[in-house]
Amino acid sequence: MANTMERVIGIDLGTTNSCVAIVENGVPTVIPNRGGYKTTPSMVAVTEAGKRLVGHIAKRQAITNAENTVYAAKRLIGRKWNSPQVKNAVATSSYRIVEGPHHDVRIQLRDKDYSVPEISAMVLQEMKIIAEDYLGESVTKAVVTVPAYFNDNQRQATKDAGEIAGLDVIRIINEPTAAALSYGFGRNMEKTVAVYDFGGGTFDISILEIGEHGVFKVIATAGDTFLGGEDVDARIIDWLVQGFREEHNIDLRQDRMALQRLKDAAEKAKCELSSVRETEVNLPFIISSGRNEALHLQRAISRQTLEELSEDLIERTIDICRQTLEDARLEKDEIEDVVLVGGMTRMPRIQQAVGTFFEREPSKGVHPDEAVALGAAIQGIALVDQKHEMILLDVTPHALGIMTQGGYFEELIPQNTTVPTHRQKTFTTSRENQTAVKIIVMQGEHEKATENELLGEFILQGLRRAPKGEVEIEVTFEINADGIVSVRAKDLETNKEQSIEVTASSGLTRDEIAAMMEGAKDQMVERRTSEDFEAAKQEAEKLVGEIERLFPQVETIVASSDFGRDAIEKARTIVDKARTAIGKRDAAAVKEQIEGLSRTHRMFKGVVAKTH
Amino acid sequence: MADDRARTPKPVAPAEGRDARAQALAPTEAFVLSRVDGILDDSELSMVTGVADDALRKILDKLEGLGLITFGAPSPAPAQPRAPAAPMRPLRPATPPRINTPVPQPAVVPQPLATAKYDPKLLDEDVDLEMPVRQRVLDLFHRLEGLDHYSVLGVPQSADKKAVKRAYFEYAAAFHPDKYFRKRLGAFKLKMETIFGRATQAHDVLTDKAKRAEYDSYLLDQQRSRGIEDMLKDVLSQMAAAEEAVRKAVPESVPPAAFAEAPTAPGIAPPEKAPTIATPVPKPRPSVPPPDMQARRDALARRLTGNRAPPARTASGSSPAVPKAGSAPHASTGDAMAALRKRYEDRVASARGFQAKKYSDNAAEALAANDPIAAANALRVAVTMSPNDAQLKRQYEDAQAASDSILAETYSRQASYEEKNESWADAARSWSRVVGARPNEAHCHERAANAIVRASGDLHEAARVAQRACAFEPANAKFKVTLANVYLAAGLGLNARRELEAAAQLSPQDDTIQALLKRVAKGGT
Repeated sequence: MANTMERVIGIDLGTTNSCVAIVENGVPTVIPNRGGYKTTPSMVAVTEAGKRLVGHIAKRQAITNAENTVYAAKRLIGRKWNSPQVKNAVATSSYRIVEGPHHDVRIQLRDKDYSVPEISAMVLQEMKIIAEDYLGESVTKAVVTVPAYFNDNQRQATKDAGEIAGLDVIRIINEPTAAALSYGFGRNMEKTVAVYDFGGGTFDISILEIGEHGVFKVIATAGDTFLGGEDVDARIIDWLVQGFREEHNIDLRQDRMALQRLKDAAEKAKCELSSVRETEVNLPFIISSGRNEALHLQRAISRQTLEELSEDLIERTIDICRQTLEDARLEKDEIEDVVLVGGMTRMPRIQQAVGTFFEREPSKGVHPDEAVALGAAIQGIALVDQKHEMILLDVTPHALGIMTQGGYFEELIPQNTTVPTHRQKTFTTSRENQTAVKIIVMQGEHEKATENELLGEFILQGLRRAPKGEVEIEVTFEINADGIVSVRAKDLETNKEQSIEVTASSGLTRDEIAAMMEGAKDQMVERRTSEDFEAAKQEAEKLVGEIERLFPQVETIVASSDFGRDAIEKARTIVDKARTAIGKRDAAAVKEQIEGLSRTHRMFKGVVAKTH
Repeated sequence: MADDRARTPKPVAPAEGRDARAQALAPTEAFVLSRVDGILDDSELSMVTGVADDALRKILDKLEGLGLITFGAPSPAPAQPRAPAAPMRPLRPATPPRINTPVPQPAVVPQPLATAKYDPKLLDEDVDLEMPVRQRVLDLFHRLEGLDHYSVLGVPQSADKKAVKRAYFEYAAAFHPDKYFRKRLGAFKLKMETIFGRATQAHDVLTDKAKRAEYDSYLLDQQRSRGIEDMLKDVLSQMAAAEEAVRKAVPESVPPAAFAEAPTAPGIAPPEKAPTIATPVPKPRPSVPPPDMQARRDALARRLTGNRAPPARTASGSSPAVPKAGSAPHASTGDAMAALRKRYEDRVASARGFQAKKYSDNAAEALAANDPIAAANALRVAVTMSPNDAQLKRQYEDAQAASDSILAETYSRQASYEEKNESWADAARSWSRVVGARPNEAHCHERAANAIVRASGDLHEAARVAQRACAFEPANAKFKVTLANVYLAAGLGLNARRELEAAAQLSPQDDTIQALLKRVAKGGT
């Protein structure tokens, strides 16, 4: 069975850590990386020698190479340069964030600019390799998770990242939903559950119904894409920096290396405080004073201090829970279980706050770090294999609509609408003799259009010249099961129609993505194969290039003789075989062709030299 | 999907050449009869009609007794692909339409399923779907329009939230496009998404307390108005029943010679409780007289009318089926015949009077039970039985007015809900009913005009009702704007302008009017 069905991996592309899983013989399993860890840091670095590092190895060298080590790229994905979140990241990150050519965000590593999807693609590629190493076969299909509250631009950018990494992302699903899938998978229950997902970078809350026939229906979802464990770390860093300044009158933030060490220490302390009541942050030689003497940072931090530092963040998550429950039109007692996901939920204060709010002990049913990837793998197998009875009914996390006269946002599809769905509304011209209308597709909940996210725009032309308000335009929004939004505008008078598929702007053009894919393909080969193959490939490619260059000349010279035509035919065959072998990354097969290639090359050179 | 009919393979067929109109059937019975098609068996009929099994069996027995249907031998499986839609079909308790006790009941929505409503060719599309799935998709898709939220999900109106959810989940598992991820679905994909969307809409309304309550009262109104309409139709069968009772009371089959020997009518209809609408009791059903009776009756008629054809028996005719006086052909027997005729006519008159009394008593009863519609119906029968009774006529008119007003109220509530949900075609229909029942009220005329325009309906009708609204309230600027909108929709710019100018005079501050005026002034048409 497993052999006939194509493998689909589930990837939890997290802010701080990523995880990959697969369903094997009906059992969802997390795949450990080569180091034996089930999660891999979502970190990417470029070394001084230009070597690309991903995961644990990137994290390990982060302190010494802080400026060229990217962490939490997810916080930037699909965002515009001028957004406040990016501004904030620019100020607090140890790596360089610069503006890209489309008001998008680029990350500078060793003089080269990378788009955010490219960085994420490196992490996805790493997860792909982990899965392939484990399975011993190549994997192309994946379900990738995103925070429920991601907008379409962020989702699209994540999809682009998958594409760059050489993955066919068959579906993007929401993290809390994925967690619910792994919670309810194979348990045949009828339950209404809340999934509280507090991860490294984002907070999500989803309320779902799990029912017969393996149906998972999301009722409401909400969250904050800029609220996570990173923010708690930042609070600890602030506290440490503040204390250090009071003691030494030195701002540790000015030193990128010190900042990176602080970050690591803060995260470590936070994690430790989940199990102990007090711990110590000890960073010797953190900075040198003006008088050239080394200063150390050594400070005890208690669980209570941490709770005080993060109290308002926790309160914010509870506020969102309250709002979501309201949106779902449910009472607290209708929630039959509360599932905790994400590393932050290990914090006792959070467990307590969630328990108090929902008036029930949160479930310990799923692994907070692995549930999301497992759920993604479950969705993957359910999509490609009909035998698995499981249907996920998800909702649109944000309202969709268009911008109308005066900069107002006119909603067509409300928040928390189950997809697939379609809605229609009739609009009209706003100026005299207007012959074209611009349909500006937006996403968000704000009534002022500018506060919402722009998804795309198109123009419907050829309207009859008429007084304003006379020509009617029917706008139809449609979201299909794949979550693709398409918008259609129709002139009701002439039935003329214009439509777009909103492939939200991830900040990249199609061409750029294609170019990056090409680039990543090379990267990919470089990463996956032995030096043995690499050497053979390089040699073969060099020969193929030479032969190709000589082909036209040789052809004109020898075309007159039967022998010549035969030789050219043979040369073609050898080149094709070599290409196929390279494509298959089969080192032995490539080597086999090298002899033939060099013979052909010699012969071609000889023919050309003789005639000159 | 297994064929359920294997259980009781007893298809019911309509009897040839029987005219059900001659029978006084209760609406439910007539409805059941209308579903009998020679293919469905009794249990399927129960599903189709929503009448519970045992109640349905009783009705079928009665219909069989009347010779209207026959129980056939099991027919071979129909070649026509029928919808294997049994699980989707709601099983509804048999409840006669009650009018004045607003207990939420399943709306009786006739759901013809015997014949596929779609072009069977659609089944042949080259897609990765199994045949039963294709059939189910097409069948549902083509019936979707006429289904209420309950029948879409196939749950009874009493279904609790859990049951609604279960039904919806079953639906999702069957129709969600993910079930056939990256399979070739062709034209089926959109249909499945549409069905799924519709089921979602039903689920969303029915699982939300407030929305469901609102929807239920809408359905109730819809059902009430349907019930009223049914009853109005039912008045015809009541009239037929009354006529039949008269005929029974007057033993026309007795030869004239026997009159002297049997002066008292042998069979005045027993004063059985006349059918009130609220609880349709099986009506006295003097089945078609046996042939010899009929022959004798015809012979009598021939003798009375001088060999002319027997008078047409009209079910609803207000003129008694009695020959005209003075047509006696044989002078020799003229006097005797005249006397005979007189006696006969007297009998008819008295029998009619009796029926009139009975029905007006029923009306009084219905009025006491606060059921003006049943009362109006009964009085209408009474008035036809006794056309010269002025007091009865007045009573009838009063009752009719009361029933109109109920109808109007029901429909206007319905219309408001439809307006709110932008179901303009439905709203136009409902408002038009209100207009029919409240011919002198301006508001409903204006709403009807508005709804018709929005639904792109008959603009002549829209103009007519809008004009009436304006005639009733000449000083209402809003009505003039509505009329102007009708004119605009019809491309009558000048008329629209006239109305808008008048409206602007009445309400000079109104921006909408000014904007519209500008638009008309520039548009020219």
